[in-house]
Amino acid sequence: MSITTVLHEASLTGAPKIGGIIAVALKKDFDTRVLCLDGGPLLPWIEERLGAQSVKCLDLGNSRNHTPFAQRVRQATAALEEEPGDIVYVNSLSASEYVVAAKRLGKRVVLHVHEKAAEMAHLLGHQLTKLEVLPLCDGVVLAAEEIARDLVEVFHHLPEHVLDFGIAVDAEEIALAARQGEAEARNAAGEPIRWGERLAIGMCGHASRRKGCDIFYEAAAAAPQHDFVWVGNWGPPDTPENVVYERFLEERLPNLYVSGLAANPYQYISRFDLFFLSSREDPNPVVLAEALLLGVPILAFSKTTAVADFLGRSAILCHGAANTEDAARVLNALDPEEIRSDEFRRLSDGFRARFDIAQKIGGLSGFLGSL
Amino acid sequence: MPDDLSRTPASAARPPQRLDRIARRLKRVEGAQAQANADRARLREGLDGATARVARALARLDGLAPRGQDALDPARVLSETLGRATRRIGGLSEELREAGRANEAKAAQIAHLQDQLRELRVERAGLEEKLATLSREKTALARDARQSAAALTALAASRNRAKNNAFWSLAPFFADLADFAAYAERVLYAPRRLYAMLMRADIEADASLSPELRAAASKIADLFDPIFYLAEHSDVALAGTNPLLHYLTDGAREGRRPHPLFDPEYYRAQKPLAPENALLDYVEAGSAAGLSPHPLFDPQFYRARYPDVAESGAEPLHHYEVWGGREGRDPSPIFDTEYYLARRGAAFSGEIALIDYLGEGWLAGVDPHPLFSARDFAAAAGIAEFAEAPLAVYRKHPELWASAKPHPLFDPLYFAAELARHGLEPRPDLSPLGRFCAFGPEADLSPHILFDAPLYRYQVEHEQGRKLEEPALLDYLKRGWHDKSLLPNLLFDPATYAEAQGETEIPELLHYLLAGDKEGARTHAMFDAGFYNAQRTDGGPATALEHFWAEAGDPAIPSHPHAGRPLSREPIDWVRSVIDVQGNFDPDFYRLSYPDLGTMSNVDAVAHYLQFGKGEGRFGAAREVLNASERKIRDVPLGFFFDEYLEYSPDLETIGTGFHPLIRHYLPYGAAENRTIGRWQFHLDTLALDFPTPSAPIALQHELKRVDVCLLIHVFYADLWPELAAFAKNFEGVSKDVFVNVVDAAWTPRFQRELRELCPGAFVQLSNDDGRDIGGFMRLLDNVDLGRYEAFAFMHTKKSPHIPEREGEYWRRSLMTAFAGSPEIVRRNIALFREDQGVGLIGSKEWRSTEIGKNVEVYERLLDMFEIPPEHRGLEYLSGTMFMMRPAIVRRLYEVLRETKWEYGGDQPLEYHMDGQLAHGVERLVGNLVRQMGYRFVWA
Repeated sequence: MSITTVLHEASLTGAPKIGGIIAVALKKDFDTRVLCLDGGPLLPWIEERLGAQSVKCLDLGNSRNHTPFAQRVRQATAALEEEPGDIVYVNSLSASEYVVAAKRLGKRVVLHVHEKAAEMAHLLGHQLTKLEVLPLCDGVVLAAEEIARDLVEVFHHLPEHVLDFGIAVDAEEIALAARQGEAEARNAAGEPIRWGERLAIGMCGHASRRKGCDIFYEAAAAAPQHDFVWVGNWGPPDTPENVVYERFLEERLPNLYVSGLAANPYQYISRFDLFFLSSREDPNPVVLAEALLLGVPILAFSKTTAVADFLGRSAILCHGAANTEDAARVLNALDPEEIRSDEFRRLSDGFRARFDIAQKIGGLSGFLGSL
Repeated sequence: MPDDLSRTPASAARPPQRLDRIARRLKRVEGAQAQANADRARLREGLDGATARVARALARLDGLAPRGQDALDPARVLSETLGRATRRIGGLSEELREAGRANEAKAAQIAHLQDQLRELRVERAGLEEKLATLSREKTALARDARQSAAALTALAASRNRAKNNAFWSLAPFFADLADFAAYAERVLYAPRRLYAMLMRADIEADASLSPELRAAASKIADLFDPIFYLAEHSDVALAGTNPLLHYLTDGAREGRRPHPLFDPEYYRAQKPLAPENALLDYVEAGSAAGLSPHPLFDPQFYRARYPDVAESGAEPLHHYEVWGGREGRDPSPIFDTEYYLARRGAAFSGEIALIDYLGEGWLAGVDPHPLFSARDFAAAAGIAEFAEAPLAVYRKHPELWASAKPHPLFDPLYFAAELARHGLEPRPDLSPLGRFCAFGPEADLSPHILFDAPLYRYQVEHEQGRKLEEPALLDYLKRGWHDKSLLPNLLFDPATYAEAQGETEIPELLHYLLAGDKEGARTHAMFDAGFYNAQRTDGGPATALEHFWAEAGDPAIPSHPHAGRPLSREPIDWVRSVIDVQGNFDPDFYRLSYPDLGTMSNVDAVAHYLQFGKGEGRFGAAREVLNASERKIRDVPLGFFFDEYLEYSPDLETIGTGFHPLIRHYLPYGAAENRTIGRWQFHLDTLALDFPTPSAPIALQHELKRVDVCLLIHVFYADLWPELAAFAKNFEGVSKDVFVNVVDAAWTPRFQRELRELCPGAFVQLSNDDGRDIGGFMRLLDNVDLGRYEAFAFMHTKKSPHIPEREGEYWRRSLMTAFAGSPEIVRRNIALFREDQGVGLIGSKEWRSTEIGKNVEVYERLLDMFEIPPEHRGLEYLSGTMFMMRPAIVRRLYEVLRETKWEYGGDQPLEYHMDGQLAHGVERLVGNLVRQMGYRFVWA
């Protein structure tokens, strides 16, 4: 049996990363190909593991977002006609046209839903999906159990075959990477961070308002007793959306360190005492699973992600949308000794297995084989 | 003149006829010569007789001489007789000589004419060769004519120049006609005219004809078509009579048609008292009076449309035949030469378009106007078969004008109403179609409800920058429909129609009227004719779109399967204001679009705009919004439901809550941000796909596994957590989910660890203290699937600092004991919820209360908010808000209160916390909800 996995983009985070990890893991049981609608750093990662001949990139860019849905279906149909896959694994609601196209071609189709209700509504509102897409699916894979509720709320439908897959990462690869290299970060004055002296509160991503770089910055200002480390692009020209960059240069917070673009973020994450997901919107933050697997406690907000139910059971979860005030209240209540204690860090141990792709892929293969 | 002379009898006769005329004249000369010979013979015979008689007389004279003197008198008589005879002989000889001289002159003339005849025969051969050349040239030129109408004029000129050579070859014969050259040149060597001129000249040269007749011939010659006349009346041709003369003497009286564009019967209908010769009357009076010689030739129109004709003083019909027709001018408002020629194509005879149409064109099924369809007119008028050109039939029968549509897009009744709307009157001398077509390009009149002339003009002139040169509908039918971006009306999008129906060979709007509506076509993203028609109850013949626009003042029928409501009138009116309002300021738009301005007068609105609004970037008119948005009128979304737009973009509430403020946000900003304008957008565009998709409503196919209880715990006092955790342990015998809301001020990492240790797997959330325990529960419910549980249990760290600590402890513990005092109690309660659907709330009977306290105001406000009817407004509640409750009641509470802004009491004194807050009101409201929803209390 062969599977074509459709990725709507090729970033190394979020849903695309999970889709890539799944595609690679399915190779054990299926003849797997990947069709990526846009280019990105995930592509070479997949090509390295599946072989370049099994990966095709359509490089559609942003044009998809401005193309009427019916036209996108036609494009998708043309693309899938060249794919041998018996099953089309559509890795995001954002690529819903491939669900319709697959059915037009008589193929079985599985939709991996990562989005929460608000994001679903957003996609509907931007004509990136349609209410009739769900009933066309032979099966649905959920990034979180609560997404089933959102699907019912938004689409008024839940297909008969549903698998709660959750988030998956390659635990072994992450653990290995975490032990490699130096984790260097500097503050605005150019001073390097001294790991271990004070609590290190970290966040990964491309500095932007969506990622809450301003919330992270203001939290650092509000909790000067801790060190804050941003892993990823922070300054221009790579991050024109960093709304606090001017303040960063001007105020020169001594406890805010940035790493710049990091090829290996795991060496930083493993040194964090707390991972603070400052994002305003990040439906499927794979990085949280990665932090969890590295034993790092997490602080997040319930309206940021599609996995609030999980975070409420494994992390420090604040209600509502991400904001500095609530975050600072928690950060200022942190007791270094307690937060670094094995007892505290072990609170999440029971959840780690649920993220390891090696332990989860069998269930997915069985699910796909049963359709 | 027909192109192929060899095929046209009248034309074919031309060169031989001239030869024949010469031959006839030769014959007459020969007859004269024979007569002269006969006269000479007779004279010679007379001379011979006289000579014989003289001889006999001389002989008798010789015999009489011996008889004496008496015989001299008779001799003298004879001598005198002889003298007379000799003189007579001399006279006869002189006559004979004269006749001989005349005979010689005649012979010379014959010889000369014979020479001419030979020359003409040579020339005829040359002419025939030239005719063959012309025929070949005609074929080539006809091919050119197919390529463009413009080439036609060149073709005519070229042909006439060629024929000019032929006629010039005849010039020596007509050398006595002094004005021949000038006339021929003036009429572009038009064969009909030259032929008519010859006929006229023939008549004028014939002195035997009356001066009146000759004068009449001179007057009508310019409008007499001998070629047509001979072809039409073969008896005249066979008789070899001068056709012009025949018309003057007989034809006019017999009602014969002298010209293809002169219809005596039609003319007389306009002037019943016209004399016998209608053409002569037309020339003398009718033309100047504007009477039409033919249903499809309108001199008034022609003069008005082509001012050069009026300025030149030319007779319109003559001008049209000689010049205008060849230049592609229109003979009447309802005959569109350009349109006709484009459709006639290669079959066009090369003659004048109208004459071609009246001859072969209509028989070939070619219509001469975009708004005339012979087929549809015949169907509408009940005509099985036309006896003459259909457009002429239409023009000649005013009794059909009001009832028979000449074209599916020309509705006479609608047009009459349109005239009335514009304060215009019908004109009895013009058909409705003629009346419409006679309007210039500036008139925004429409003859059909589905064609929006002002809208079309806006798109063409304002958006495309092309000036309309004829009425909008004609432009649309002739060229505009090929541009799929031009909307003939707001709800007809040719691109959408073509996508759904496939490409059509006729304008999509016409296709819709003829077939598309019956097929349930989609005419616009928001208009599905099949869906619309299925809901109509009127049973009328109007198409869906016609019905919609007739009812557009108050649309009542949904036109989109997924909109769930009729289209709103507001976007349509907004577009109208874009079209109708000139200039950059519209006070109505300004007030409606900016609610912050209140109800300013027009003057104040203008002043505000100029002083402030413009500088603030406010729009002064709807058209400005479109221009600033760089959008076209077709981009204005008719599926814009402002309430749904606001629902999915709540951040826009500050802009305004009505249509106008929100559309002026959407067009420049919201559209680029892909904001939702209606729930209909959430559905698959089924019409664009070629396989069936599930129809709405979509059933929920998957039932989630139900859990016995959802335990909601609110923690304000962290020190009480172990006690609550102990009660929570009593739920271990049933399936459960535990959700804990911790007031963030109470949170520490250590407490987090304790929470996890005592209640592993619980969902723990930090939030502020807004709304006390009630607010905390509501925030927890943000994370809960309300449909997943059999029951909800509510617990919180209640301390009641306003009463003694032990009483507070008792209150708290007795509240929890009633529904969670032991695993058995929990199991029993869950079973009760399962088995007795009337149970709404299980709580401690000790804390049943009817006290309102200081909460009257907030409580009554809540009763109103939840629409509690009077019969359920009695106060009965559980004081302390710890109980088990049915999910339906929880859902009702949550749905109404989820967005509530709760009070924060963290910085308030103790009294504040005792009573009077919204949370206290909700505590009391719960009892009313239980009863209102048909449930009952179980006091344990």
